[in-house]
Amino acid sequence: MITVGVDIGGTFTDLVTFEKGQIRVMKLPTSRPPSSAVLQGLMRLRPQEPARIVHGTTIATNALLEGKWAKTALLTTAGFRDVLEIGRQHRPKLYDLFCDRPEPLVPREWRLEVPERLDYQGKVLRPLDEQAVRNMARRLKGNVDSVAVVFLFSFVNPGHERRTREILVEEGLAIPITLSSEVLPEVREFERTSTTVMTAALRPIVEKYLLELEAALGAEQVGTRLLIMQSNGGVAGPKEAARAAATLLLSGPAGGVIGARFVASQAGFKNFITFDMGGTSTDVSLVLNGDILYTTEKEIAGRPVRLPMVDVHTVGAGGGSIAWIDEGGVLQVGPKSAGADPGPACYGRGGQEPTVTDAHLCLGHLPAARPIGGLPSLSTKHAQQAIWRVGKKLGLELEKTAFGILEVVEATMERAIRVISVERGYEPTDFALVAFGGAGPLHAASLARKLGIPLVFVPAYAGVLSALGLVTADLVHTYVRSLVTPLTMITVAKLNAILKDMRGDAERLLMEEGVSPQACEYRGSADLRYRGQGFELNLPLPTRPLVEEDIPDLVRRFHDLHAQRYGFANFNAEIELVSLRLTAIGHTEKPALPKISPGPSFSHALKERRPVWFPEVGWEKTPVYVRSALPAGAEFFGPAVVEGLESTVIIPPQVRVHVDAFGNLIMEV
Amino acid sequence: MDPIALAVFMQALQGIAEEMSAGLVRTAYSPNIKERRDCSSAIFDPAGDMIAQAENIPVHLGAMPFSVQAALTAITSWEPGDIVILNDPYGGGAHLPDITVVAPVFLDAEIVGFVANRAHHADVGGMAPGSLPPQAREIFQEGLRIPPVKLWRKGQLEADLWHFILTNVRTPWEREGDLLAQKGAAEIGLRRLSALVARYGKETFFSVCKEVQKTAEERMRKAISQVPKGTHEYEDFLDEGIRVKVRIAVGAGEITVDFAGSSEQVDLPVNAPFAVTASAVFYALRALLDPEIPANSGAWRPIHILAPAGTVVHARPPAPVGGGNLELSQRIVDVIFGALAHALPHRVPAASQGTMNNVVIGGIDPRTGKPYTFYETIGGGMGGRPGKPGLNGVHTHMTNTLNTPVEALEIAYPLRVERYELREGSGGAGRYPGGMGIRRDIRVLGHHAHVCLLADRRKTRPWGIQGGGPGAPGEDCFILDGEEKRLPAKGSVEVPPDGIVSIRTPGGGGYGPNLCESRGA
Repeated sequence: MITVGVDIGGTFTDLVTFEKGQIRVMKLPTSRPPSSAVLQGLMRLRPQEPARIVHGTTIATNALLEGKWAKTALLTTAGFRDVLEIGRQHRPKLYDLFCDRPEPLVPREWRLEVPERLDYQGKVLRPLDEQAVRNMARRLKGNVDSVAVVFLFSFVNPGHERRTREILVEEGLAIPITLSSEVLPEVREFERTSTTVMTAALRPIVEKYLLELEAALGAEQVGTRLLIMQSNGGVAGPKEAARAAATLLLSGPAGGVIGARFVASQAGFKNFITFDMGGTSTDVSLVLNGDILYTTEKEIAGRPVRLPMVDVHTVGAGGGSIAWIDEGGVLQVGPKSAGADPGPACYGRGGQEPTVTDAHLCLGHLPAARPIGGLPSLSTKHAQQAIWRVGKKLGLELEKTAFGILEVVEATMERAIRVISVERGYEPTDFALVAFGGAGPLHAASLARKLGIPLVFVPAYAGVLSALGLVTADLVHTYVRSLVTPLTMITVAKLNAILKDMRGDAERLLMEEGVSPQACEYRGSADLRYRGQGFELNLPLPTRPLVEEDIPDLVRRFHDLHAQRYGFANFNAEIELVSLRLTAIGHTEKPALPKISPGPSFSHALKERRPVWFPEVGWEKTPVYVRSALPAGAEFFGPAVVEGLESTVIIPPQVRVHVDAFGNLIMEV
Repeated sequence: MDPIALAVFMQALQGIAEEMSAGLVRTAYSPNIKERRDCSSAIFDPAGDMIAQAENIPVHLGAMPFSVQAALTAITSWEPGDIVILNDPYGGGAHLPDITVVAPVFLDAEIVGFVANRAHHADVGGMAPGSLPPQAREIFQEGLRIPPVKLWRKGQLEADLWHFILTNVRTPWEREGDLLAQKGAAEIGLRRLSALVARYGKETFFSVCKEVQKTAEERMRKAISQVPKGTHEYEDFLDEGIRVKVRIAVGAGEITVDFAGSSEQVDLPVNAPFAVTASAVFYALRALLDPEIPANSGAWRPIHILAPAGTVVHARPPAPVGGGNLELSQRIVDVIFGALAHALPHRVPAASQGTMNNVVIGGIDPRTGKPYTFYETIGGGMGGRPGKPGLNGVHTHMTNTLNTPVEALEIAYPLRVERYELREGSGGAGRYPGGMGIRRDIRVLGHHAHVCLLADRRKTRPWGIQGGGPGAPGEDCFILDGEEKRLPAKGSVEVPPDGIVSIRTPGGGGYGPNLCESRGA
């Protein structure tokens, strides 16, 4: 079966297929509805057999950002309907008297209280008032499109939540009902409520979109299967994706990380930091021993979503970010962006404020004529005027100002990379930097030097990396069970029973999705902490059933990891097992990336020599190469510029660069 | 000074301060620190002037430079690996539960700066669990006073001192974990700062230190110059009639905040050490004038604070100070806002709840036989704002701690939360109404518990502004077998098994003339 990766972005819809060792790439303008561009692309690619279509979507994210979530009701334990609004009772900004909290996804009038209560061990203190639930069903019918049910301690005993759903269904409520004990069986009621409500409020939107897309695709070609990229870097069928709608919130960035990992690992890289710098924002993440790192502590649009997601850290700075002088006279870059319209000053469409892109153009980093077809060329004059305006206020000449803007935006990037490396206990110097996105390769070498990163990797296919990630992604499902018990009080038999139970659920789902048992992999892990602490460390478990000796080994590894991450271990303290996790992976077939042809000389790749400004040497006539013309094995030193279709690579003086067999650029900085 | 290097450095310093706080929160034991993030971190130059901070709790941040100054005064010789701790409110601290660690940062045998962090420990001894006894008449009753002392000397733990401290607190295993977490966080900061200074060179770093403060100072002067010149007065009270009076003189790029006329210090634990008063003044002026001013010592230079010694805003030993940090600090913000309301009508909101509603519950956990101490603060209504209503159920002004999740609380302590909800109708009426307060009911399970309350705005009410109405005052009750009794807002009570303590926090005042009814669902 042929696999097609479809990444629908704001501007372009990218399609990638692998067929007979050939990679085919197509970029189309994004359409409304988005499925029409997808269908158009598929028709042009004309797969001869039913296709497996893997889709990365921003539908959930856009619905959230645009406030277009479904009308949702929330059923809570009596006395706790305001948990969603009170949150953790803090305000998002300390000194800003005018700041607001994100609007609750369910307004107060649709937060309904159900008489019931469990204690912390799951014992029933107050039985579920079934009649009250029946009455509520009548009130909900026809008035809301989705229901979330969140009762206290349902992660210990889901009985009341499940019974509530049964009653609502018995009463004829035919809308999605989302239980917190199924979405996130974890302690901490606000985070669980937020995650459950988010899922419930996005579910009808995602369901409708995926059903329509699936129907449209099925009508075109019988036997076509649709899979959706989730925030955990794995794909799932449409039914599962809609049921867990909040897992689509980082679908887009996850695709980019998976694609970067695929290309970088084929080139032999195992430990690297992905650096995806686009027009308005930048995503960074860390890959360790070929594994993507996950987090369950993400907030999306100010609201916690405690589901495992690729640990992508996003900062609001990119090529379109605007440089400005703050009240104290200090140069700042971003978070305001010139966007696509009017765009940077150099677009000549009326943008007056200088952006990062304008700074690059002033320093000769970017060509005035743009390689992407149909786009107007860039105006150096407009860029210079905009940079001048800021330079005058700072008392700096043009080049120093432009370079200063790049320095400031790189400081933001550096901080972002420290968050996902140093704050997690890893030193950037042990990693390579994998740069992509429209602006990533412009900054990569300079940024790597600041962080002490020795190697920079600029992947081939950088412009369609997300779509490539979709083609190569596995099916991934994650499970969690909360225990919150001292490690010494749990038997190995109980741990094995819980792991087996989760594995049973996973096996059924993967089978439903058509994965053969040989292609399935199950990874158990445990969240541990010193008893009394509030945060956990996640440690992998052996893949076989656990034996007694695994426990002391686990304890030792926990102390080591704690010391590595936080600088100390407390050997006297009791260790608590907070939860067990299982990640089920249905491996998909991975295509091999095609190699490019080697060549003895690359003089034909030289496009021109143009003046480029570098901080070490000032203006210097610098060779500019066309990326697609560089053969495998080409090797040279900076200063140089390599221009690709989607991005430009800056190679500073003294940096050695070579082109590998796949057409990736590797810089030693 | 190169403006680019300055901008880059400011980001890097901010990043280091945030890394310290992140590490502290993730490794601490006290729920106050790990769940509620009642902690802060900052970076200082060799002279002890603050150059960057992670923004966590306002009341900590303006006060931390006083800690570093106190450490510099007390400690005459520093060595690499030294870590100083302190909590004495009369020697660089704020109130006893807040323990601050200060560590010197060395590069080539020279001190290039200091890092510090402060965390609210669940108990530091004294007459009641939680070390915030409302009945304290002297600081000696509030807990263990620690002057600036080296707890680690050249990297080696001072085992005698360690043992001495842990012997004087109720939950030593927690203190141990929290102090290790604070040390770990300080080490993160000093490693990162020395690497940063090594990368750019000491000379560059020292000129950056001067420049960031100069920049902030100029920016503060500029912000002050936007305020109409003149003198503005206001006074407000704690429920006991304790007066906080302010007279603000706005000059050319300078501002003088004079508290003459405030009450003499009292034998109730609501007195503020000078550091706390300064913190509240800095918070209020930064929030009103320019919230984006980099918070470093330079920003405070144009601000002159006159607080007569021996009054509630500048307490002298042995006055008890537990609630100065918590309650009086909120009233200081209220009077500064009140004083500037006419000068800045489009900036100043109505009064917010004006209290932190401190609750401490302690006893012997019948499940383990071990003592426990639980401390929390409860949010309330935010005052209505020019152009928008106040937020419901939120922490305002001098604190921003998180709540303890109900489920985490019930797992950790022999307590059960019966309700946690917004108080309908508690927000002050107005064109932009005040936010609602919170009702939180906690039941004691299977044991007798000692409950301390330290709260305010139970008699006085958060005022409205520009014609808006006041918020509802808070109230506190004790419920047993369905019978409800009022509790004093500053006092303690023994609660038998199944007794419920019900805290109802104030709503915010309203902004603007009353066009709609008091707020509710």
